[in-house]
Amino acid sequence: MTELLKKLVLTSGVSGREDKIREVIKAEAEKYADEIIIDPMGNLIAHKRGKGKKIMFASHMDEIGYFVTFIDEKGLIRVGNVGGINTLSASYSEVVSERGVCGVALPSDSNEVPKVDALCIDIGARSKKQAEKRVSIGDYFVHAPHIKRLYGNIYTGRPLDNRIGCLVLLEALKNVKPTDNDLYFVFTVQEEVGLRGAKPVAYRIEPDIGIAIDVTSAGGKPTSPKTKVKIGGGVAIKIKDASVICSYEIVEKMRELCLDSNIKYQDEILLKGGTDTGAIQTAKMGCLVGALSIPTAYIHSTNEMIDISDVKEAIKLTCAIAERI
Amino acid sequence: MKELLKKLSEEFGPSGYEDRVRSVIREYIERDLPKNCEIAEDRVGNLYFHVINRDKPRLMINAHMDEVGFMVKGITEDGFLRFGCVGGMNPLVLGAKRVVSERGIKGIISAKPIHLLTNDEKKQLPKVDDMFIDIGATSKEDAEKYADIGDYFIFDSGYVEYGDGFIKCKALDDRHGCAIMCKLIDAIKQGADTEYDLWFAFTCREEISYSSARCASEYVNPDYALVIESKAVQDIYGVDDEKKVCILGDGAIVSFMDNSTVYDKDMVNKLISICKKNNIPYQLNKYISGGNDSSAIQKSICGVRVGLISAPSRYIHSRANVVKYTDLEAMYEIALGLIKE
Amino acid sequence: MDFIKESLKELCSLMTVSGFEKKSRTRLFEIARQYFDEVSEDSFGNFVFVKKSLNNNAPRLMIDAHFDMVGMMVTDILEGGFLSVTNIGGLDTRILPSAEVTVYSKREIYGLISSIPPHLSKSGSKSSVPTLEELYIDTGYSVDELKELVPVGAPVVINGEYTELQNGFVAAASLDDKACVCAVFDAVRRISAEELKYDIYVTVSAQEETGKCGAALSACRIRPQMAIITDVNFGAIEGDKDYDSIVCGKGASVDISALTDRKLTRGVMRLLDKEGVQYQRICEPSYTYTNNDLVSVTGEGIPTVLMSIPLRSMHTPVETVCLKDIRSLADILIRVAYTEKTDLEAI
Repeated sequence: MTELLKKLVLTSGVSGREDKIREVIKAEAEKYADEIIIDPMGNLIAHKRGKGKKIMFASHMDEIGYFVTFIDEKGLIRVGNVGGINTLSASYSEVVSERGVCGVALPSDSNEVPKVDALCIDIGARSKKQAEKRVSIGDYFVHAPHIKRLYGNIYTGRPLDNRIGCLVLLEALKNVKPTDNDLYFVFTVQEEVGLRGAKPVAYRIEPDIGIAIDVTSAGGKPTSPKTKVKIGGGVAIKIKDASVICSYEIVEKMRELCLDSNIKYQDEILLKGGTDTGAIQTAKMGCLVGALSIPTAYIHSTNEMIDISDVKEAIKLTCAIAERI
Repeated sequence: MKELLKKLSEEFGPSGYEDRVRSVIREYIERDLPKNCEIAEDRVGNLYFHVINRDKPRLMINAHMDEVGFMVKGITEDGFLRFGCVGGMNPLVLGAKRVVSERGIKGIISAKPIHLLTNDEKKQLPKVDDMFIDIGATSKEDAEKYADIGDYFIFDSGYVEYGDGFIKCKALDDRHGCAIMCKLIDAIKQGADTEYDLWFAFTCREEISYSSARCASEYVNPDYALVIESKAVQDIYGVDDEKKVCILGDGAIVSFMDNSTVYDKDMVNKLISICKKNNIPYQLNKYISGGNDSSAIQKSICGVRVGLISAPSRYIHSRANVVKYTDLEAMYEIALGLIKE
Repeated sequence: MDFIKESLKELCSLMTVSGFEKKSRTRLFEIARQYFDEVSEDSFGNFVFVKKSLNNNAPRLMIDAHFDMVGMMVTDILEGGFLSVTNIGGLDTRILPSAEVTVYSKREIYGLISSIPPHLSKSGSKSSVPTLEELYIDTGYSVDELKELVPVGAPVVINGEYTELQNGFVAAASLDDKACVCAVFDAVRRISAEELKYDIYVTVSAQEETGKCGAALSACRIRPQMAIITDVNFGAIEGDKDYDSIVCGKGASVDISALTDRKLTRGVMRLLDKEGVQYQRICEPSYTYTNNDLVSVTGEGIPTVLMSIPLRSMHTPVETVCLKDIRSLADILIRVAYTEKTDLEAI
């Protein structure tokens, strides 16, 4: 599992430019799916055919980052943000471009926590001409990817949001027991810029049930939002977030599945932040939706943190839903 | 194209009342209709010109017909018109501007004069709620002869060519896109070949985010879409280079991302390669800002591969939009190149 | 009026917090079966009721009123028998302290929203509006009992029982938008199939208050040729600008907006003028902030007309309407249902 996780985390793919990470996922998904579809927006659909309920699982594969918009006379690179950047964490952190050019993200005007449009990137170039040799307008940068084990089951890295969800989905695709259900494992694009990718896929598939798999903010840390969800407390069953009120039938069913299969779970109500769940629920004529989340601390920072035991529970629950819901 | 652009830009057409612009366009594109082409209208008011090529991939080219405007919400006892904005506008550009209604009634946007403001009020931004349209009526009863609740007004501002190839008018956003599409249709009529099942969609209500472009996308079901638009830029004195967005006269803007859309990589690359191959001046957007119909189209149905070319435009959503003619020519050339590929 | 009174009272007694509309399905179906040819629901929580015309090829007219109401959801069970909550839909937290609530779990549980008396409030804090995070529901149970009784995620309603005021005014929670549901039922009840020019698809839709617009999902299924959206709009109170509100007791309104169909809206107004029906007008230049906005761009697009009932004290447990305005909306709907769409556009 850790080899695959490493590969997923270390491959970049900002919202709208997911080609590289899609290739990595595709190579893995191909081994277990009956059919692979890539739709016009770039969503990857791994289909395991069945005659029963149509279930769509969705995990987004994009990550936050930057697009290069302007290079100034001194060779400093101005960027536009893609998704919600944690500027406190981004300041003075390492970034890397789609072509592998490394640089440092800095505040352009002061030493205080910068506004997002005040971030720029220094790649060490001394002039516009030098910079233009390695970077073009329209290139993307992401925060330098990395992952390491800290202590016991605790891992830190970037971007765990939401490559950890992709891992859950791939492992479930691999391990799911034969079932009647018609299963779609979808790796969506452009979630970080406003849940844009999931709706067209749901429109295509028209599932009976949609289940999103994503990270959720964990509490108990100095900077945590107010929430009961804890790292190491098991997979989180989403009841509500800013984008969705999950179908209560699905919430109840997921709790039952956890009790039946001895899966460690916790309830989740996320007050800020949305997930693909909201987009799937209202695609075309709508469907029942639920979501399971991996508790994660310091989301969107350069060091996101998870407990790998929660991930194992998430895989078990995903399989249980696929087989028995 | 300038003559057509003048006619289209000066026509009355705020969001939700595109009828007159649609008639002008329809009349223009109906002339000498070739056998392999058809014209259609859908029930929300979008107008289509279809070049039938059934087995080919489907390309939809889209520009919106509507412009920002005003709607009468009420009439005061003194005969002044209270109004709300249709589409997003900065209240600063409204004061003391001439407007004209769907019935041709002229008016002035007015507010309390500066002499009567307190010092605190002088520092605050004016609010639309404090403004009214003065049509010269003497009473509520008198005003009701000329205007009614729900009547539309637009900026009363004509077409002017000035300086070195600049054009000013209200509603250039996005009538220049409509004009470019009309000229592309002319090119088709004169025998330009296309490798697509090609649809031109003139759409409604772009200025309000519940855009009819998404209905057009359902109607056409395209594989690819090219949106032709205006892009707000500020290449004016005193603005930092990295915030100017783009420069008038430097060519058509090919966008890779704005606030509403990350454009399809293949479409972006294709548009750039057309520019390079044909020596068409183009520029990439140098700041992330704005949004348009692309987002509605990209996310519609099962997803559409979408690209954008836009004219760098100053003072958008005011009475005086400004574009440069050479940029419009570049946009026409890019779109023509795409049609032929 | 008796029908309106009785059914409104019953509709307002149903728990329909956004996302939990299906919990009241049984009773709603019982009511609807009396007046409609078909009843159905979808997984999102929308209910669709059909009344057919005698003409086989009649166009489909969708009439929408949303069923859901604002409310709260339990987020945690706390020491001392308190519950913390989050809002569902736009809640006015100013009116919450000391309000009575009902928590819906295995059974209905009575509760009170905590408040701090003036003697104990810190200096300066009297003037600030409490946030929902600072308020708790007092249930009177012990924490252990409460954990047995209430799961996280349970919906909560702010109690606002149906109360008759003077002159045909009534106050209750969730009159937004059950006043319109009631009007639509009253209209369909009185419509004769012989004169009906449309197959009427009534959508009693879910999650308007959360901005999810269940009505658009139903519209996608029904694919109507025309839709009328009914909702409440601000009833004028002292100090309001007359052009931003409508007046309770003066009839339902036809709303004018860039996002409704201009021809149909004008057609409806002229029809009402011609027949001498009293109605009000209000202008929402851009967004209407109702189900209209998304329904109008559903599928290949749907021409819509928006109609409103004036309502005072919106999103509180004492929402107030005048029964005459409900009747007025029903009358207007009947007149439209008896007029061919082409005639409406031609008028």
